[in-house]
Amino acid sequence: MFTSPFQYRHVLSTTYILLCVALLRFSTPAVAAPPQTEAVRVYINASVPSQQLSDAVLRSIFSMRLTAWPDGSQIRVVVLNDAHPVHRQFSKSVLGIFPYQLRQMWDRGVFSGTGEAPIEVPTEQDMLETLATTPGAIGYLLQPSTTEGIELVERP
Amino acid sequence: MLSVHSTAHKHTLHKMTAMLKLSVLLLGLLGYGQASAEMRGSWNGFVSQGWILSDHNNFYGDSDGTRGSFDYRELGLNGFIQATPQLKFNAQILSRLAGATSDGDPDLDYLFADWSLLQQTDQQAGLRLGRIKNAYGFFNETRDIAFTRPGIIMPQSIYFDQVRELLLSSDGIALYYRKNTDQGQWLVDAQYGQLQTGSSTEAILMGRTWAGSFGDSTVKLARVIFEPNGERWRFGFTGLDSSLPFSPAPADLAFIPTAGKVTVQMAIVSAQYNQEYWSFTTEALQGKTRWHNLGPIFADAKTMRSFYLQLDHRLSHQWQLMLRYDQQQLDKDDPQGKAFSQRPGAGPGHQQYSRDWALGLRYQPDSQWDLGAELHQTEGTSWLFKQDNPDPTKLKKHWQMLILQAAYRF
Repeated sequence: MFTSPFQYRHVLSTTYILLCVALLRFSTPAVAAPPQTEAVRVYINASVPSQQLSDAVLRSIFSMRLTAWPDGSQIRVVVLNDAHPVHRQFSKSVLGIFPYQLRQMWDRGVFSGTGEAPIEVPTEQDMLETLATTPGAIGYLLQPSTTEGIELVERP
Repeated sequence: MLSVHSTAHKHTLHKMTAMLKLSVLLLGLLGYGQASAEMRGSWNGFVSQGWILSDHNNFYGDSDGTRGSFDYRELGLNGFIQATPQLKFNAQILSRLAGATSDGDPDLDYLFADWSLLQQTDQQAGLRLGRIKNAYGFFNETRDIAFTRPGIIMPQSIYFDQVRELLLSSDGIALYYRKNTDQGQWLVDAQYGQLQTGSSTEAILMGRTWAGSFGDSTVKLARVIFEPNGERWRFGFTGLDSSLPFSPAPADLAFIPTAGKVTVQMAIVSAQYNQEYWSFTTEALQGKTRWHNLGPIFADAKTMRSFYLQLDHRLSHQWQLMLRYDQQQLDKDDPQGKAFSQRPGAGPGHQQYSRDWALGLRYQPDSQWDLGAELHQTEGTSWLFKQDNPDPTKLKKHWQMLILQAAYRF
């Protein structure tokens, strides 16, 4: 393939230089610190029977392992996209795991048939509407809301 | 030549019968499920294309050429139907091209019914029936999907591609149990099923392909994963036991006088530590292969040892760097392959081990694209494929490769 070892070294060194440039260019913090003034609140569709959920149970729900409410109806998880600051704050402060870990869990489920991905919405307004109109839905909002059709979850 | 053909034909037939049985079973269950009103479903797909350039040795096709090899391509479609809140059907069709080892023909990757038996806030359990991906290590269930792989290629020491069939999936039954305790979450999987054995299993476990073949081969496995609360660790342990009965054909009797079996037992420990910008993953494997009643040309037993260590650094939510060291010893009593190379026609001893350093860069501009580059610097040739490197005397002990891959999902 490479006619002389020199050419191969050339490819190697070029790649290493590119890697170093990438490292310098992108080694700024991956995510800006989320605003800590407001706490993310967990909301459910009004059809959901349980209004009190511990953080451990929320972790089971958002990792798509617990899939049914106590009455047997389906849990429908709603999230904002991975890079959204509210999603990052919810993931870290409520669930205690990083967004990339959630994504890995969902992907493992989707591509092995042992789970599925949550419903993903682009904005908090879409989150509010989806929560209000989807039976069994659970999601989160930064701003307190008294919109009809959703209820605040108590976290003991 | 004739025997090779008839062997291939036999394997295809065997595979088709198993698939047919599965399909009939699952279609029957689907008919039962259709009674439900709140049925829903979803589907996903992915496609990836790789390019490999290596010096001296071939990996996934004719990579040791001036143009490299494009023979690394994956295409998959999967979906599920939630028939009732308790019953879910899952399937994935996968076409995988990887040099001479995977031909790109569409295969049924998995197809199973998932029956949820227990759904409580602190514990869940269920039963799976059909073709199920083997719960082996942290990554086996999603080893063929670019987005879920820990690099462009799997750590070959533990997720070896030469005997994919032995690890990939099994047709049978699986039980799962998830439990939340004050200490953390426990995830337990137990599985029993029939393996899909083919010519590559024969080539690896029996030294070459024979006129005879493996009969109904089974695998038993169990995996426990523990994720401590409030900590960033994940721990895993997998135990696997498979049994492959072999019946020689008349043409084989000079070498294999009687019917016998090969058994493979493996234990894998896995650990992962996750920080916001850093992840560290390591897995180690010990595997024991035994040859029972198959005659003097086979050893009684051989023990394989491998491990890898991997460091991932997330530079931003789009860019990621990876450094991996991956080591494999096919025979712990012959780590340098000295005894192996004494055997007539065996070729060089470095076919018995590999030490691989890999450096990777990954760019995910959005959730649908995954682009990567990976450099490998390897000593030893144990995980190279005979089909891609037919003459062992031409293998080089020290070799390198560069892999590029683009993946898209929809």
